[in-house]
Amino acid sequence: MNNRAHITEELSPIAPLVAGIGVMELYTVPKGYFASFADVVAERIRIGALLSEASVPVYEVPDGYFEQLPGTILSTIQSSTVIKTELEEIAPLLSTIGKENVYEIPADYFVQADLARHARREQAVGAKRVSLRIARRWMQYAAAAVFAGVLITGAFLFTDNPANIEEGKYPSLDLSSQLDKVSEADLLKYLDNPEHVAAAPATVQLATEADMAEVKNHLQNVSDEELKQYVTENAEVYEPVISEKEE
Amino acid sequence: MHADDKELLFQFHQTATKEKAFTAIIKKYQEKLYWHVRRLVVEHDDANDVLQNVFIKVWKGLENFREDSQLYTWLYRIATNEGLTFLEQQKKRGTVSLDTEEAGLSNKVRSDSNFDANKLEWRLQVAIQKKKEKQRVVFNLRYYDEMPYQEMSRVLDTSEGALKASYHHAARKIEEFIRNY
Repeated sequence: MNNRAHITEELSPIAPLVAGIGVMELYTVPKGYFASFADVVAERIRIGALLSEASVPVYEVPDGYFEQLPGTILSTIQSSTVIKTELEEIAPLLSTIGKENVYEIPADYFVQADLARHARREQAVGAKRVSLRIARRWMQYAAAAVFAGVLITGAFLFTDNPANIEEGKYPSLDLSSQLDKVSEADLLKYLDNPEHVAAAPATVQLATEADMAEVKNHLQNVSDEELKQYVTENAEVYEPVISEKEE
Repeated sequence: MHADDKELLFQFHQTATKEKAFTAIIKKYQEKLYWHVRRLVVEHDDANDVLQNVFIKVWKGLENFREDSQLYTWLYRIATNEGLTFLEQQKKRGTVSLDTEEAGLSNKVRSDSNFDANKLEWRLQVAIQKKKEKQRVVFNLRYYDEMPYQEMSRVLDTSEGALKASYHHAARKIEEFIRNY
């Protein structure tokens, strides 16, 4: 790998200054570093191996321990029944005696103890915190509702104010007397304008209602049988119309 | 005089001579690899940490080392990767700023107790540290380790053409920097 001459030759045309610098180690290394380096690495490898061995569990579990564990627990639970049965056999009198405590304790001992414990817990946790968030939110909703109500009422009063109509300007008009004053020629001229005729649907509606009243009067004289027959005869006429609509 | 790589590898695979062969491998390559790493990370303590990690990896991987490639190429590959990983970790830890990694390394060069701005050799070191890490590795392997492009191609897993271009570009820029220093 000793091709320094080749490297310098290659470098000369592109970086003559660098080619001329020469290779020289500027950095320093602690004394004896390379002499002891192999031992340092070997030591680290040994420690690593020891640590990996140490990670192997050192405790042992008896063979079949975990398989037997559920059975062991169950038998322990059942042992209380065994004790009772055993006592009945060996000392029947004892088994009839209750297990109530015969010793006395100061009155309210447990209540006091319980209170003291409760106080300590309260002290540790701090006073109970009541969140004002919900109440505040409801207050905000109420304020918003009041504001909206005021707005809507104000808008209604402003837009629907009958006082705005200047009634003085429009005294009660007698239309028929006023129409009488209009000449027939003017009326005909007015009716000749198709726009005026189109703008009078109420007249058409009235005519239709009059017609309907006439039909009603007419039908009063027709019997139910005749009406049924009419419906039966004309049913075919309506069916297609219905079916068309359905389609 | 160091033993042949093949002989060392043979001894390593024998249980009785395994540790002895490994120590011989360390002794044979420690200085070359140390300087390669040192030029990358600049400070001795960092270079020492990286080099120890390199040889621990070598210990773990040598069992499965494929002897169709050269041992020294494989060692350089591990050392380069470890050095670059170390620099990457430094960036993540914030020891060296992400934007000014190169500036940080050239400052480390300047803070060396022997630094002399009037010496071209030191200017060269500062200039090298100003380059991007891949260009730095290519320049160092070629300029200091005199590694043929073919070998470098195996170490860095890059085509010879790309390495030549990278080296030429780096050399020009370094020259330019030294002239304007």
